[in-house]
Amino acid sequence: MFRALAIASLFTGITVALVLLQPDGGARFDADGVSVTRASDGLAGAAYLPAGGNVLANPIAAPENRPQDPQRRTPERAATAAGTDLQTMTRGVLAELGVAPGSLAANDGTDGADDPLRAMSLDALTGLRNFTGQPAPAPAQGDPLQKLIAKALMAGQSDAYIDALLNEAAGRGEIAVPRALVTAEGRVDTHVILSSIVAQATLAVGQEVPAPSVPGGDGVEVRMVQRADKTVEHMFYTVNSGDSLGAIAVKFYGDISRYTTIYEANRGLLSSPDRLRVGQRLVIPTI
Amino acid sequence: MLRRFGLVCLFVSIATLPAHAESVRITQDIEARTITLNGAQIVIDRIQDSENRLEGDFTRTSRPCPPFCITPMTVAPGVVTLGELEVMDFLEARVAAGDGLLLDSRLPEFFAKGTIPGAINLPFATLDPANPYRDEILKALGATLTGSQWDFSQVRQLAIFCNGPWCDQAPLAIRHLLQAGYPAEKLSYYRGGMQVWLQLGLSTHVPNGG
Repeated sequence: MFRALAIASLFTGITVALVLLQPDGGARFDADGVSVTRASDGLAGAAYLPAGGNVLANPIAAPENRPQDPQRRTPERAATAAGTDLQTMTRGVLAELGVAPGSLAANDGTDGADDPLRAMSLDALTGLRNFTGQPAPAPAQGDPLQKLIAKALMAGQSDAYIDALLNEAAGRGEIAVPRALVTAEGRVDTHVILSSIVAQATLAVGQEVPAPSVPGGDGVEVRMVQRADKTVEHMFYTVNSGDSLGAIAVKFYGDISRYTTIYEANRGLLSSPDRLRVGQRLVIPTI
Repeated sequence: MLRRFGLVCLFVSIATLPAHAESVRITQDIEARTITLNGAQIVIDRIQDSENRLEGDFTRTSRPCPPFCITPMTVAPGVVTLGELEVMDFLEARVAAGDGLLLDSRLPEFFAKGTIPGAINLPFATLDPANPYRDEILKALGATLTGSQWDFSQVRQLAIFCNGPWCDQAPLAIRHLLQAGYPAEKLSYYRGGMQVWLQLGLSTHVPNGG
């Protein structure tokens, strides 16, 4: 309920801001909104969009969460990598809600233009699709998971209701849940989904997302290891009931897409990001 | 009389020269292979100048290893290794039929300089598990993702090459694909690569340039 309220108030905030900044701000927001809902050219088209263009409307081109804090800004390939599905989903929900995350990219000119791997991948995909005559995939905003969440949020449903709704739909196989959002009990981590949406919506209106509080509490363990020249801090976390990899990433890094950092550091334990088990002791790399 | 005979001989030999033009054949029975891909015809034959020699980079013998080490004949269990004739067969039987792809796994700047006719560029780096767009590439190859479960049953048959037996990019691409779950029987490795293809004077194609 609290989150639904937060979303609603953000939404109102945006509307007020739009009314106040009508001459240019309003026009741009509208334009972005249109391209978010109408973006039907898939990845192939995105390859040729100018940097800073509205590439966010595109499922694959969605870059990672961009906090304003330069320290947390350091883009890590792996994190961008697998975080894509979560970011895409979050943006998709926001698009469904009418909050255009596209405005995020407008003031950030670094939208992947400096990423050779991205350019190479997009070119390769264009080549593959041209050759095989495959259409580029449809944008993700029609995703049933996103629609479901957006609908529930707009109806002002409580967190508990949304949680039950998502788990039922997932149980019936109606929605595909990103792997990092599966908890140790095999449930959908609704809490993290909703926090991520709030964080994105906050960013979309140009506010800063508060940095995560210093991790502590249940299951956190810090060890100092003395090396020849320095002391290295090792952090561990024991999986609690209800944890998903995404939730742990938010807990330690404040960024859901960082779950890959944890996953990669614990490949020996985890066969897949959705195979978390209560009691597992995960290494939390320092970033 | 003798001089006239000599002139006649010279004339005859010049006149019959074009008849010898296709003296560098692919095999004894096959002069050239013509394959229709996506409505466009590609012709693979060999350079007819029997004095032609390679120039430039592909004449080098001793690139430092690592990284340019000699690759094994079989890159992974179940992955068939192809020669030039099999690559042409693959183009005709698989690529032309729409269920196979000949992939140049080198970086785009190498691909742009010239590749095997009918090949498309899929740089090895794009298949690295750390590449955020890799899943999209797997999908473009025919894999489908349901929830967290990949289905590779409908994927295309691939023949992958790079610069040749001293180049690990194609083997690396194959290892990445296998690691992702791509079935070994859907993969093949053209070990000779550009090195051997050029050495045999076979036709190349310069993408977007002719």
